[in-house]
Amino acid sequence: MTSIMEVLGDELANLLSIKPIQAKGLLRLSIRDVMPDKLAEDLTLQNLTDVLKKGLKGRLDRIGASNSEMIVNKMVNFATKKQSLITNLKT
Amino acid sequence: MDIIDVFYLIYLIMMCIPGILIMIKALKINLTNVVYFGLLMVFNGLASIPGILDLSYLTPVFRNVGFIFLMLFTQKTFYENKKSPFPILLICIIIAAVTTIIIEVVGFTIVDPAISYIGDISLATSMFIAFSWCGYAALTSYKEVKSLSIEPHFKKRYQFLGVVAFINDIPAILFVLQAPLNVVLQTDLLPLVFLGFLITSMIAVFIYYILWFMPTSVKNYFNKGYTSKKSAEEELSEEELMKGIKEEIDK
Repeated sequence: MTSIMEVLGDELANLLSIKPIQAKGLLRLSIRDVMPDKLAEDLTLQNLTDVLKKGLKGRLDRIGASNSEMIVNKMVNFATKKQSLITNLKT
Repeated sequence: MDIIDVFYLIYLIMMCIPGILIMIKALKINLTNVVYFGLLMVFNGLASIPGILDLSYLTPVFRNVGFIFLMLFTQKTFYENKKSPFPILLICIIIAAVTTIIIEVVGFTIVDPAISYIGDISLATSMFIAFSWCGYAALTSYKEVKSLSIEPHFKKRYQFLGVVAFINDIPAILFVLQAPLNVVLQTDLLPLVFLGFLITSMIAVFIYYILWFMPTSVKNYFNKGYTSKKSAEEELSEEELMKGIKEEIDK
Protein backbone atom coordinates (compact mmCIF):
# COMPACT_ATOMS: atom_id res chain seq x y z
CA MET A 1 0.00 0.00 0.00
CA THR A 2 1.25 3.48 -0.89
CA SER A 3 2.51 5.58 2.01
CA ILE A 4 2.94 9.33 2.31
CA MET A 5 6.73 8.79 2.09
CA GLU A 6 6.35 7.27 -1.36
CA VAL A 7 4.24 10.18 -2.60
CA LEU A 8 6.73 12.70 -1.21
CA GLY A 9 9.63 10.56 -2.44
CA ASP A 10 8.28 10.59 -6.01
CA GLU A 11 7.99 14.37 -5.92
CA LEU A 12 11.47 14.84 -4.46
CA ALA A 13 12.89 12.44 -7.06
CA ASN A 14 11.36 14.60 -9.81
CA LEU A 15 12.73 17.80 -8.32
CA LEU A 16 16.25 16.43 -7.81
CA SER A 17 16.31 14.13 -10.85
CA ILE A 18 17.28 11.17 -8.72
CA LYS A 19 15.76 7.69 -8.33
CA PRO A 20 12.54 7.56 -6.23
CA ILE A 21 14.19 5.00 -3.98
CA GLN A 22 17.06 7.42 -3.25
CA ALA A 23 14.60 10.25 -2.61
CA LYS A 24 12.66 8.10 -0.19
CA GLY A 25 15.90 7.18 1.58
CA LEU A 26 16.83 10.85 1.81
CA LEU A 27 13.46 11.63 3.37
CA ARG A 28 13.86 8.81 5.89
CA LEU A 29 17.29 10.15 6.87
CA SER A 30 15.77 13.63 7.22
CA ILE A 31 13.11 12.26 9.57
CA ARG A 32 15.79 10.49 11.59
CA ASP A 33 17.72 13.77 11.88
CA VAL A 34 14.78 15.81 13.15
CA MET A 35 12.39 13.31 14.77
CA PRO A 36 14.35 10.15 15.54
CA ASP A 37 11.59 8.71 17.73
CA LYS A 38 8.82 9.00 15.13
CA LEU A 39 7.79 6.65 12.38
CA ALA A 40 7.31 8.24 8.96
CA GLU A 41 3.69 7.08 8.90
CA ASP A 42 2.92 8.82 12.22
CA LEU A 43 4.00 12.28 11.13
CA THR A 44 1.47 15.11 11.08
CA LEU A 45 1.60 17.88 8.50
CA GLN A 46 3.39 20.09 11.02
CA ASN A 47 5.97 17.32 11.70
CA LEU A 48 6.49 16.83 7.96
CA THR A 49 6.97 20.55 7.43
CA ASP A 50 9.62 20.60 10.18
CA VAL A 51 11.34 17.54 8.69
CA LEU A 52 11.46 19.17 5.25
CA LYS A 53 12.57 22.59 6.47
CA LYS A 54 15.22 21.37 8.89
CA GLY A 55 16.16 17.78 8.04
CA LEU A 56 15.89 17.79 4.25
CA LYS A 57 17.44 21.26 4.00
CA GLY A 58 20.43 20.06 6.03
CA ARG A 59 20.84 16.90 3.96
CA LEU A 60 20.60 18.81 0.67
CA ASP A 61 23.18 21.32 1.85
CA ARG A 62 25.46 18.47 2.88
CA ILE A 63 25.44 16.97 -0.62
CA GLY A 64 25.91 20.41 -2.14
CA ALA A 65 22.55 20.81 -3.89
CA SER A 66 22.66 24.38 -5.19
CA ASN A 67 18.93 25.11 -4.99
CA SER A 68 18.13 23.49 -1.65
CA GLU A 69 15.98 26.41 -0.43
CA MET A 70 13.77 26.27 -3.52
CA ILE A 71 13.43 22.48 -3.38
CA VAL A 72 12.47 22.58 0.29
CA ASN A 73 9.85 25.28 -0.39
CA LYS A 74 8.43 23.26 -3.27
CA MET A 75 8.25 20.16 -1.10
CA VAL A 76 6.53 22.05 1.74
CA ASN A 77 3.98 23.46 -0.74
CA PHE A 78 3.44 20.01 -2.20
CA ALA A 79 2.89 18.44 1.24
CA THR A 80 0.51 21.25 2.26
CA LYS A 81 -1.49 20.93 -0.95
CA LYS A 82 -1.80 17.16 -0.65
CA GLN A 83 -2.19 17.11 3.14
CA SER A 84 -5.39 15.06 3.04
CA LEU A 85 -3.26 12.11 1.89
CA ILE A 86 -1.78 11.94 5.40
CA THR A 87 -5.24 10.87 6.60
CA ASN A 88 -6.28 9.00 3.50
CA LEU A 89 -3.20 6.80 3.10
CA LYS A 90 -3.30 5.84 6.76
CA THR A 91 -6.87 4.47 6.82
CA MET B 1 -44.21 5.18 20.86
CA ASP B 2 -45.30 6.73 17.55
CA ILE B 3 -43.74 6.42 14.10
CA ILE B 4 -41.54 9.49 14.61
CA ASP B 5 -40.14 8.00 17.85
CA VAL B 6 -39.28 4.81 15.94
CA PHE B 7 -37.48 6.97 13.40
CA TYR B 8 -35.54 8.69 16.18
CA LEU B 9 -34.54 5.36 17.71
CA ILE B 10 -33.36 3.88 14.40
CA TYR B 11 -31.45 7.07 13.67
CA LEU B 12 -29.80 7.07 17.12
CA ILE B 13 -28.47 3.52 16.72
CA MET B 14 -27.61 3.98 13.05
CA MET B 15 -25.43 7.04 13.71
CA CYS B 16 -23.89 6.29 17.11
CA ILE B 17 -22.56 2.76 16.55
CA PRO B 18 -20.58 3.48 13.34
CA GLY B 19 -19.57 6.87 14.79
CA ILE B 20 -18.07 5.22 17.89
CA LEU B 21 -16.33 2.54 15.78
CA ILE B 22 -14.80 5.24 13.56
CA MET B 23 -13.60 7.12 16.65
CA ILE B 24 -11.99 4.00 18.13
CA LYS B 25 -10.16 3.28 14.87
CA ALA B 26 -9.06 6.93 14.56
CA LEU B 27 -7.70 6.96 18.12
CA LYS B 28 -5.77 3.75 17.45
CA ILE B 29 -4.02 5.26 14.44
CA ASN B 30 -3.64 8.74 15.96
CA LEU B 31 -5.92 10.66 13.60
CA THR B 32 -7.63 13.36 15.65
CA ASN B 33 -9.35 14.75 12.56
CA VAL B 34 -11.15 11.45 11.99
CA VAL B 35 -12.20 11.44 15.66
CA TYR B 36 -14.04 14.70 14.83
CA PHE B 37 -15.79 12.88 11.99
CA GLY B 38 -16.92 10.16 14.41
CA LEU B 39 -18.14 12.86 16.80
CA LEU B 40 -20.24 14.37 13.99
CA MET B 41 -22.05 11.04 13.67
CA VAL B 42 -22.38 10.50 17.43
CA PHE B 43 -23.78 14.00 18.07
CA ASN B 44 -26.19 13.68 15.16
CA GLY B 45 -27.36 10.39 16.62
CA LEU B 46 -27.67 11.88 20.11
CA ALA B 47 -29.85 14.62 18.63
CA SER B 48 -32.60 11.97 18.53
CA ILE B 49 -32.75 11.64 22.32
CA PRO B 50 -34.43 15.02 22.95
CA GLY B 51 -36.93 14.05 20.23
CA ILE B 52 -37.80 10.81 22.01
CA LEU B 53 -38.05 12.61 25.36
CA ASP B 54 -40.30 15.36 23.94
CA LEU B 55 -37.55 17.91 24.47
CA SER B 56 -37.11 18.52 20.77
CA TYR B 57 -36.06 22.13 21.32
CA LEU B 58 -32.72 20.65 22.46
CA THR B 59 -32.23 18.76 19.18
CA PRO B 60 -30.54 21.69 17.36
CA VAL B 61 -27.94 21.93 20.14
CA PHE B 62 -26.71 18.38 19.46
CA ARG B 63 -27.01 18.72 15.70
CA ASN B 64 -25.10 21.99 15.56
CA VAL B 65 -22.33 20.66 17.80
CA GLY B 66 -22.09 17.78 15.31
CA PHE B 67 -21.83 20.20 12.39
CA ILE B 68 -19.04 22.08 14.17
CA PHE B 69 -17.15 18.78 14.50
CA LEU B 70 -17.63 18.19 10.78
CA MET B 71 -16.15 21.64 10.10
CA LEU B 72 -13.19 20.80 12.33
CA PHE B 73 -12.71 17.55 10.38
CA THR B 74 -12.73 19.45 7.08
CA GLN B 75 -10.33 22.10 8.39
CA LYS B 76 -7.87 19.61 9.93
CA THR B 77 -7.95 17.21 6.98
CA PHE B 78 -7.85 19.56 4.02
CA TYR B 79 -6.93 23.10 5.09
CA GLU B 80 -4.20 23.02 7.76
CA ASN B 81 -1.59 25.77 7.07
CA LYS B 82 -3.70 26.80 4.08
CA LYS B 83 -6.03 29.72 3.36
CA SER B 84 -9.44 28.54 4.51
CA PRO B 85 -12.97 29.88 4.90
CA PHE B 86 -13.19 28.10 8.28
CA PRO B 87 -13.47 31.20 10.54
CA ILE B 88 -16.21 32.79 8.38
CA LEU B 89 -18.15 29.53 8.01
CA LEU B 90 -17.80 28.83 11.73
CA ILE B 91 -19.26 32.27 12.56
CA CYS B 92 -22.14 31.58 10.11
CA ILE B 93 -22.84 28.21 11.77
CA ILE B 94 -22.68 29.70 15.27
CA ILE B 95 -25.10 32.49 14.28
CA ALA B 96 -27.44 29.96 12.64
CA ALA B 97 -27.12 27.63 15.64
CA VAL B 98 -27.87 30.34 18.21
CA THR B 99 -30.81 31.52 16.06
CA THR B 100 -32.17 27.96 15.84
CA ILE B 101 -31.82 27.39 19.57
CA ILE B 102 -33.50 30.69 20.49
CA ILE B 103 -36.27 30.11 17.94
CA GLU B 104 -36.80 26.53 19.08
CA VAL B 105 -37.10 27.60 22.70
CA VAL B 106 -39.45 30.48 21.80
CA GLY B 107 -41.33 28.30 19.31
CA PHE B 108 -41.67 25.63 21.97
CA THR B 109 -43.20 28.17 24.33
CA ILE B 110 -45.55 30.10 22.07
CA VAL B 111 -45.98 27.46 19.33
CA ASP B 112 -45.84 29.85 16.38
CA PRO B 113 -45.33 27.96 13.07
CA ALA B 114 -43.78 31.00 11.38
CA ILE B 115 -41.12 31.33 14.08
CA SER B 116 -40.49 27.58 14.05
CA TYR B 117 -39.97 27.81 10.29
CA ILE B 118 -37.18 30.35 10.78
CA GLY B 119 -35.66 27.83 13.20
CA ASP B 120 -35.88 25.10 10.53
CA ILE B 121 -34.19 27.37 7.98
CA SER B 122 -31.38 28.19 10.42
CA LEU B 123 -30.76 24.52 11.20
CA ALA B 124 -30.85 23.65 7.50
CA THR B 125 -28.36 26.45 6.82
CA SER B 126 -25.86 25.04 9.36
CA MET B 127 -26.24 21.59 7.85
CA PHE B 128 -25.87 22.92 4.33
CA ILE B 129 -22.72 24.92 5.15
CA ALA B 130 -20.99 22.10 7.03
CA PHE B 131 -21.69 19.33 4.52
CA SER B 132 -21.22 21.43 1.38
CA TRP B 133 -17.82 22.66 2.55
CA CYS B 134 -16.72 19.11 3.33
CA GLY B 135 -17.98 17.96 -0.08
CA TYR B 136 -16.25 20.81 -1.86
CA ALA B 137 -12.97 20.16 0.00
CA ALA B 138 -13.05 16.43 -0.81
CA LEU B 139 -13.78 16.92 -4.50
CA THR B 140 -11.15 19.67 -4.82
CA SER B 141 -8.58 17.42 -3.15
CA TYR B 142 -9.52 14.62 -5.51
CA LYS B 143 -8.53 16.84 -8.43
CA GLU B 144 -5.17 17.44 -6.75
CA VAL B 145 -4.35 13.77 -6.22
CA LYS B 146 -5.92 12.11 -9.24
CA SER B 147 -2.70 12.25 -11.27
CA LEU B 148 -0.60 10.71 -8.47
CA SER B 149 0.53 7.13 -8.59
CA ILE B 150 -1.47 5.79 -5.64
CA GLU B 151 -3.98 2.96 -5.39
CA PRO B 152 -7.30 3.99 -7.00
CA HIS B 153 -9.29 3.12 -3.88
CA PHE B 154 -7.66 6.09 -2.11
CA LYS B 155 -8.84 8.36 -4.90
CA LYS B 156 -12.36 6.88 -4.78
CA ARG B 157 -12.52 7.78 -1.10
CA TYR B 158 -12.38 11.50 -2.01
CA GLN B 159 -15.12 11.11 -4.60
CA PHE B 160 -17.43 9.24 -2.25
CA LEU B 161 -16.79 11.60 0.65
CA GLY B 162 -17.61 14.53 -1.64
CA VAL B 163 -20.73 13.04 -3.18
CA VAL B 164 -22.13 11.81 0.16
CA ALA B 165 -21.58 15.23 1.71
CA PHE B 166 -23.77 16.71 -1.01
CA ILE B 167 -26.35 13.92 -0.53
CA ASN B 168 -26.60 15.14 3.07
CA ASP B 169 -27.71 18.50 1.73
CA ILE B 170 -30.94 16.91 0.45
CA PRO B 171 -32.64 16.67 3.89
CA ALA B 172 -31.62 20.27 4.58
CA ILE B 173 -33.43 21.34 1.41
CA LEU B 174 -36.45 19.15 2.24
CA PHE B 175 -36.73 20.73 5.69
CA VAL B 176 -36.78 24.20 4.18
CA LEU B 177 -39.34 23.26 1.51
CA GLN B 178 -41.76 21.25 3.62
CA ALA B 179 -43.39 24.13 5.55
CA PRO B 180 -44.40 26.21 2.49
CA LEU B 181 -45.42 23.03 0.64
CA ASN B 182 -47.62 22.03 3.58
CA VAL B 183 -49.49 25.33 3.19
CA VAL B 184 -49.77 25.05 -0.60
CA LEU B 185 -50.77 21.37 -0.66
CA GLN B 186 -52.87 21.59 2.52
CA THR B 187 -51.18 18.50 3.92
CA ASP B 188 -48.51 17.47 6.43
CA LEU B 189 -45.32 16.44 4.62
CA LEU B 190 -43.28 16.08 7.81
CA PRO B 191 -43.46 12.24 7.93
CA LEU B 192 -42.32 12.16 4.29
CA VAL B 193 -39.49 14.54 5.06
CA PHE B 194 -38.46 12.33 7.98
CA LEU B 195 -38.53 9.31 5.66
CA GLY B 196 -36.35 11.15 3.11
CA PHE B 197 -34.02 12.12 5.94
CA LEU B 198 -33.82 8.52 7.15
CA ILE B 199 -33.10 7.16 3.65
CA THR B 200 -30.39 9.71 2.82
CA SER B 201 -28.86 9.19 6.29
CA MET B 202 -28.82 5.41 5.80
CA ILE B 203 -27.05 5.80 2.45
CA ALA B 204 -24.59 8.27 3.99
CA VAL B 205 -23.81 6.13 7.05
CA PHE B 206 -23.34 3.01 4.92
CA ILE B 207 -20.89 4.80 2.62
CA TYR B 208 -19.07 6.50 5.50
CA TYR B 209 -18.58 3.14 7.15
CA ILE B 210 -17.23 1.61 3.93
CA LEU B 211 -14.92 4.61 3.50
CA TRP B 212 -13.26 4.27 6.89
CA PHE B 213 -13.42 0.45 7.09
CA MET B 214 -12.97 -0.41 3.43
CA PRO B 215 -13.11 -4.21 3.02
CA THR B 216 -10.32 -5.82 1.00
CA SER B 217 -12.84 -6.98 -1.64
CA VAL B 218 -13.95 -3.36 -2.21
CA LYS B 219 -10.32 -2.20 -2.35
CA ASN B 220 -9.51 -4.93 -4.86
CA TYR B 221 -12.51 -3.96 -6.96
CA PHE B 222 -11.42 -0.32 -7.16
CA ASN B 223 -7.77 -1.27 -7.67
CA LYS B 224 -8.51 -3.64 -10.57
CA GLY B 225 -5.90 -3.10 -13.30
CA TYR B 226 -3.63 -1.01 -11.08
CA THR B 227 -0.03 -2.14 -10.82
CA SER B 228 2.13 -0.66 -8.11
CA LYS B 229 5.38 0.92 -9.22
CA LYS B 230 6.68 0.43 -5.72
CA SER B 231 10.06 -1.26 -5.54
CA ALA B 232 11.71 -2.69 -2.48
CA GLU B 233 13.92 -0.29 -0.60
CA GLU B 234 17.56 -1.02 -1.20
CA GLU B 235 19.63 -1.92 1.81
CA LEU B 236 22.16 0.91 1.55
CA SER B 237 24.16 2.48 4.32
CA GLU B 238 23.73 6.20 4.96
CA GLU B 239 27.09 6.93 3.33
CA GLU B 240 26.28 4.87 0.22
CA LEU B 241 22.90 6.55 -0.13
CA MET B 242 24.23 10.10 0.28
CA LYS B 243 27.13 9.34 -2.11
CA GLY B 244 24.73 7.90 -4.69
CA ILE B 245 22.46 10.95 -4.53
CA LYS B 246 25.43 13.32 -4.78
CA GLU B 247 26.64 11.49 -7.88
CA GLU B 248 23.19 11.67 -9.48
CA ILE B 249 22.87 15.39 -8.71
CA ASP B 250 26.38 16.16 -9.99
CA LYS B 251 25.73 14.38 -13.31
